[in-house]
Amino acid sequence: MFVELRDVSKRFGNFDAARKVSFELEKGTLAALLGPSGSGKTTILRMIAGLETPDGGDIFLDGQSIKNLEPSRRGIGLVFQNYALFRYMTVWENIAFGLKTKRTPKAGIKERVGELLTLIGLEDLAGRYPAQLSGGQKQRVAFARALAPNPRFLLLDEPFAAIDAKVRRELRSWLREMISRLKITSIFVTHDQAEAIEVADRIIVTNRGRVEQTGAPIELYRSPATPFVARFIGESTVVRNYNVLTGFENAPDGAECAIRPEFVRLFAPSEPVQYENSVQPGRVSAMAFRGDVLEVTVRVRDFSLATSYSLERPSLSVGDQVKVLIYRLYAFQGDQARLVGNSLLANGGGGYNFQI
Amino acid sequence: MTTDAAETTAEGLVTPPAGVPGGSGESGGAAEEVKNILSEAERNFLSGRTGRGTETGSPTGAGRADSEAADAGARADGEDGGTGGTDGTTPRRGRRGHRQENPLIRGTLIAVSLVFAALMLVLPLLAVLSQAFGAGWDNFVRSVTDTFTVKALKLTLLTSLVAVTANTLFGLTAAWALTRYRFRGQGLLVTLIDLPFAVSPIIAGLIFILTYGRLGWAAPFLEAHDLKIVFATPGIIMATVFVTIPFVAREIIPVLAARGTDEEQAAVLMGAGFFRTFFQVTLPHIRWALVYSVILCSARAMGEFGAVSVVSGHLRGKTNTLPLHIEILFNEHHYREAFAVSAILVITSIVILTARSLVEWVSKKEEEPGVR
Repeated sequence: MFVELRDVSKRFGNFDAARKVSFELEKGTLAALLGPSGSGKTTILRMIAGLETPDGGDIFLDGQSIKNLEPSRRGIGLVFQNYALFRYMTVWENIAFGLKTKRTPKAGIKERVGELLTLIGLEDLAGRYPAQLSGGQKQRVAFARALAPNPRFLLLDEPFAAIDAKVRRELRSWLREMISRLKITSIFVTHDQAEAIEVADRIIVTNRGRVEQTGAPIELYRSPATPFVARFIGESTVVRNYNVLTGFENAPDGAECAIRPEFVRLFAPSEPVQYENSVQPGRVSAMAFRGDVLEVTVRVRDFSLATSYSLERPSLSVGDQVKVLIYRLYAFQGDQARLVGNSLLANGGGGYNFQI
Repeated sequence: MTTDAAETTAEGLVTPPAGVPGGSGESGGAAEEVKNILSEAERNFLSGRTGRGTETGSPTGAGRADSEAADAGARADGEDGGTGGTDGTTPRRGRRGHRQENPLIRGTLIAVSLVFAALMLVLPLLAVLSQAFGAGWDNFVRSVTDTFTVKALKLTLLTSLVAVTANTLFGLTAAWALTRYRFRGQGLLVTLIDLPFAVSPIIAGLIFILTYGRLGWAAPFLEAHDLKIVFATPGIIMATVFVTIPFVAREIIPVLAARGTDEEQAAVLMGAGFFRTFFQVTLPHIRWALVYSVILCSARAMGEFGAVSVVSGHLRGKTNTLPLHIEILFNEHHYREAFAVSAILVITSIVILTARSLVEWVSKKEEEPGVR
């Protein structure tokens, strides 16, 4: 493994920023460190960069422990959350800074900076100061500055947080393309699950200083290991005492589960259902048009479940009685989440193993 | 910051330490910029109180009352407002309704301010200058080139030079330590820096006599090594240093604190050493605050009377600084000479104030390089 964190811990006062954090990344991976604010993701990033010292555990880069290595000797590039561009230096000087400290010969600096300016497409703005750049341009400069000394590992702290929504999409795909073209192993921190799913090859979900789960975006979505991941990734409704639902009577009292919209299927009263005994009555309580589908909220027992409904199906309106089939759900047991199928369906709600 | 962990910056330092006039100092052109630091309530209060003054940026009576310290605080905040510029919300802008104020009140307030300033500030200054040059140029030159005057001037310059250098180094060091590290006694250091503002000058002088004088606890050591501190140049310098300690530190701390540590961390991460980081990343940011505070510090160091008077011993030609020399001349009824020597200090002050305005103007223009 190219990057490995082994039981890395960090405490600030009596706040556990990182508790026995472990994960591995292969060379060339673009990983997202995803979690709500306060979950420790920035601290983890800063420990890898060397701006914070772990209280315990070890960090390996390319098989070698970097825990006791000086930050500048780790071969890591860091893009700061607010870019931290040097305000009193031009774009050119900003990018050149990391080369000058390494005593690169002048000609080499000139060549490398020119190369990076071309890469980020800002050749014309080399003489500008950061204050004269837009958010997106600043980000590109920060990216180029971090890349200038040819790091083997790139870290990005909330790279899109300070950019307005319109430019963000564009920058996301730009960064994604840059990183895959350069084949540089990277981690970026984000609290936006959509961003992580869209951009990253692998996602490391953190919560309260712990790593909840590591995996490809679709793995996390399809088989969340913990209740937190089930709630945090994708849409879902969390309900308690779900043993009142048809097909899940075996569940213990008081147990919780999460139900994704696609796990719920609605049938109009007139529609035939293959396994009639596996459905239960419900009532449409709200409907919203979402462009290609209808987003329907259906009241089943005391629960409000969200699902989508195709425009091709028999028409529904608010207040209508419907038959509700719940294929499967994520049952929570302590700090584990487990996929449970509807016991009244022929295949027990299985067959949920799509791949892309 | 939406970071997960405790941040390493000393947040308590963003606002100038409490208990000193100037924490919320509203004065002159800087008033326009004081926004991030003041709470909304304070802002409304200030804008309500000073009315048009805040809009036009003209010095108001309320602002002037706060001594140079107020300027120091307000300007530092101003620098932050300009460069940090995080939120552009300025509720004060919306309060232009005060325009319809009663013209009588407006006229009275302006007149009172002007007359008061004229009586208390301008007239005495003019009196000094007219007295100084009243007996003709030759007389002035003779008074000023008098041996004792020249010696006093030299001592004053030496004292100021040493005191300003020492306090600049201390101010930078303390500001760096306070805003970049966390350590025990941090709060104490902040309070200590402000101490000279709060302590009467006579105390400032007496403490040195009590420490290094003949009855002081350091006396045996000093006598054994034949060192003289009190009633000699070292004592004068120490008293001056004591009195002018806050100027540089107080000016730099808020600027450094407001700025955060990101750029320095970026520099360190890219392999820059301490000096490269300081000179290329940090110094450009604080240079105007530094120049400004050095100017104020020099002004104060040259003019310091109280504390120096206590430790000097008034030995003419030996331990007399210019202010002390003026006092002696005056007490001996050499009024012309006293005024002539005073004129040196007055003219120096005018030069320093001009320099200060110039620095303020230039720094405002350069706050964001290239933007304009």
